[in-house]
Amino acid sequence: MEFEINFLPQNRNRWLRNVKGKELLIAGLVLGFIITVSFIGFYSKGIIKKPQKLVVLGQDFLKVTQEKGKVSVTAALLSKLKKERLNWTEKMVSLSDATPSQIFLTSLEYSKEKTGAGGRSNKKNREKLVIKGVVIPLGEESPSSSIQSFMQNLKNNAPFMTGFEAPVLISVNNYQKEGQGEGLEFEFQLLRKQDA
Amino acid sequence: MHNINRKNLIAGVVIIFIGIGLFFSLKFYQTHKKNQRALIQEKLNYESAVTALAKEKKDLNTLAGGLGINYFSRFPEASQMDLSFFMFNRISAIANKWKVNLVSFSPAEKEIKGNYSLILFSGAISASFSDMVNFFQELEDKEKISIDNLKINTSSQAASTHQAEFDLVCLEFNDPMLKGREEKEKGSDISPSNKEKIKIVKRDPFLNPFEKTRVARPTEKDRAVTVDVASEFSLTGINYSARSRVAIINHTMAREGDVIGGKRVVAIKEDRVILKANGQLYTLRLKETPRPQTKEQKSLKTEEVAQ
Repeated sequence: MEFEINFLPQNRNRWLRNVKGKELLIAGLVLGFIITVSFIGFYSKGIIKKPQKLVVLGQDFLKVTQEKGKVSVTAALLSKLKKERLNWTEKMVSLSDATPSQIFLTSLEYSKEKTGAGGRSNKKNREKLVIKGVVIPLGEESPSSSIQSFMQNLKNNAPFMTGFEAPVLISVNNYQKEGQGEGLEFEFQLLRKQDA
Repeated sequence: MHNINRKNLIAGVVIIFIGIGLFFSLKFYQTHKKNQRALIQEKLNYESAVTALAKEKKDLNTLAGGLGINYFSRFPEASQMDLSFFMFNRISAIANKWKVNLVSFSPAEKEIKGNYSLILFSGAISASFSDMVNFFQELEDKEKISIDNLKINTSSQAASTHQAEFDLVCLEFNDPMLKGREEKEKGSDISPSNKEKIKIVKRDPFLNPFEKTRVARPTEKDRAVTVDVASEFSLTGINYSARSRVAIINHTMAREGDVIGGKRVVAIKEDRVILKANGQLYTLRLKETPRPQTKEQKSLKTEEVAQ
């Protein structure tokens, strides 16, 4: 059996001269089979092997993602706890700055109380800060405007107001004590922010 | 002609086979490239996820450090001691540093909340506003203890001294990621340092400017009889509960029966400690010097001790 492959136009029929059809068919089939099988093999290898690496990487990725999820949950909890904390040092210093000279405080109380109407299920624990004090008129400013400016000072004081809603006046009464003149006794409260 | 057609047919079949092979090889090439791209993308995703995780862990540690979680794990001695006792010592030392009178201190209560617990203590102090602020600052900023249910009232004893009641909240996390985090850290030193920031308050908002400052002074009689022991004893705190009675005398913990400065601690009460030496009973009150008791008091106290 002889093969002579030559596709030049002047030699077009030369390669066929010494080849018998049956031999060529067998050779062609064998050659085609080898090529096809080898390419199918490579193809399959390409499909199967690479995804295996992907699967391993995917599993690692999943582990990292799960751990990240746990960290995120813990971080969210810590953030919530941090948000719930009140820095009393800052608040006390701010209170000192915001209190006008004609006012002195008699009590500060931060506590929880049940709020909300209706049955027990509707009632919620709501924290509030109650401040009580006395204003003694010293200059031309009236006692009531001193209370108002004190509450406004606090409202404008960001460190003090952190976590609280605006102050609300609860009561004002006459104050009279020997040697101290007449003044007003006041009480106002700041409710804790609901989302805090 | 027939032969040529047959040969052409064979050649055609061969070409078809080669075509099929080429098709598969092209497919293989495409799949290979696609897989490589997917692999690169997946690697990038993985690496970015790992980086993001490391960042989140770092942020978490910063946040946890800021909150001072696992408070007692920071102090190796805390695990060997009753938590209440340990905290009482710590708070007493801070109170002493800031000249704050620790009036009362209640034992710990533990509230378990899912994967963390809150350890609560209650306390009461009396001090000037400025000292109170610095005391709270040390608790909040240095010790990372949260203060809750704060109440401040003006004292009836002295205009410049105020009373504060509060709860102290320590966090303990059960999460293994955070549980051992602070075990390696050493407890913060409570001794004063030059770098320490002292909060200076402009004015005491609780100070009544119209009320004259009243400071309780010992009488001439008191001074005369206590001169020999006044410099010896300083009672800075009492931990009084049904389970334990401990007093801090001269910055040392003392229980009933202990001998301090040659005097035996015979009884610890809520607000005072009774000492005995050479048959003489002495009452030691918080931040006061010991005063010998009258005969009537002596017999009464002896009965109390006997009970």
